[in-house]
Amino acid sequence: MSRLATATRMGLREQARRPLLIVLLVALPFFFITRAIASTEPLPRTIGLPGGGGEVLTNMRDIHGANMAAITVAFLAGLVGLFIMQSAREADRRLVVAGFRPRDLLVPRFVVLTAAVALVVVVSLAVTALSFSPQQWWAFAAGTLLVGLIYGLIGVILGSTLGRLGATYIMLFGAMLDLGIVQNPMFGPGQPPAWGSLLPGYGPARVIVDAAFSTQFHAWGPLAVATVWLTGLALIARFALGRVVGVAWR
Amino acid sequence: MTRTGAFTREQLRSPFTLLLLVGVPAGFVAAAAGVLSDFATALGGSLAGDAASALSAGWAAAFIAGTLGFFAASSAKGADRRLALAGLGAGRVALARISSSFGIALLAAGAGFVALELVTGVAHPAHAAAAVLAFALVYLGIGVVIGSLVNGALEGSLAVAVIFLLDVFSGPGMSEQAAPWSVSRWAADVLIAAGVGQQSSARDWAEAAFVAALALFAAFATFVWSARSRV
Repeated sequence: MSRLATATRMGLREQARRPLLIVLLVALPFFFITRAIASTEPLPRTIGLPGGGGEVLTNMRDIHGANMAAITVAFLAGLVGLFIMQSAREADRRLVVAGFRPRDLLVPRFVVLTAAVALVVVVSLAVTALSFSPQQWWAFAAGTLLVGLIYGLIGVILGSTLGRLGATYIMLFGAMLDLGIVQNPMFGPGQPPAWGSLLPGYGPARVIVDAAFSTQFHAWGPLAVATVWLTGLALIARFALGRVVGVAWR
Repeated sequence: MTRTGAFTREQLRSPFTLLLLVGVPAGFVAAAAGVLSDFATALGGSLAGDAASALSAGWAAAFIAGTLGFFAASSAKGADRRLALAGLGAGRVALARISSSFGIALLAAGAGFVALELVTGVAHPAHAAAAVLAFALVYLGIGVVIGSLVNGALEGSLAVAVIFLLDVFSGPGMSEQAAPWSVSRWAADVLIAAGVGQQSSARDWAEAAFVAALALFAAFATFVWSARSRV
């Protein structure tokens, strides 16, 4: 237990000693979300809600406001997952050789990742609240948190399996294509295409859209899809990271 | 093997990275070409049809070149400094590192441009290719400058992403008037004109070339400065 607590404390302290990182994690959502909302024209737009919620007439500015928090969180959580895990890889291997069990190192890394995602989500939601008010705040917050956790875990998996350059490309372009284009109701018919449901951002993005524009929650199906993605990715990330640090243990 | 060749081989030692360098910009151009026009309208811009599609190739090239430049300068900082101190000299190391990244960025920019030709076609392909190259050079410079100054991979890649997003969403076509900090606006002006079949003025060409050259000079100077002897 003390090893676990020590490794967690050290992991959090390591991140706290990176002032530029903290500044970027706080300033970036603030700047992007406020600017996105302010610079978008309130052009009328009809979008489709999930789970038989029908269609709703809203405007581009509100859709951008609802969607921008998710894009920003996915972007930041993915990179945090990718680089926090990569930077710790060599040190973790040495700690395993020194007697730490892989579990003693994996749990603290996931705690650090969750703390970073939580920070980005809280900042993003607070900034969104300045310019846009979703109909169902709790569901909106849950959807945004799901985006952060899903993309954070994707970052962990990519960081454990690919080189930094390749992993960064997939992470950044992937988040932009999935949440910024395919799931974004600002484009196309106002809801994602059928094949869009195969992407990791589908579940949380539909939860966010429903929570933002409907007074009743209809997105049970997308919520279930997001939960399946989260569980599956957590298992894969556990396996991928365990393989990386566990080599020395065996 | 030349120094530039060795550095290029180092970057491309994973075949999957090479696949991504070609596949990601092509995929982005194919996906973004259809939606950028709607997005520009929502932001109060006037970008439409072929101009929007053309701009997506410039964006893809810029982002790929920026991250590539960052990792090239950042990941081998220690080794490069030792190479410079061992007698190669900071200037020659900088030249080889930037040339190698330029070659790879050219490949990625070419993939985006070919995708653009296949998806929508371009009225002035030679002009568009030159403008996409200008995007890549400007961001290669930005990436190398950040990689030479910022240590953490997370902080550096975020910094490249911040500059890119600030730049392109405030650039020509995406807002009523391009913001003063939009560093790629001259390249974007040429690319948008090429996309809709218009000629760019000599002044537009000169400005785009000047900014690209300035970015490369800044990259070279910063790299040499960061690799200098501290003794």
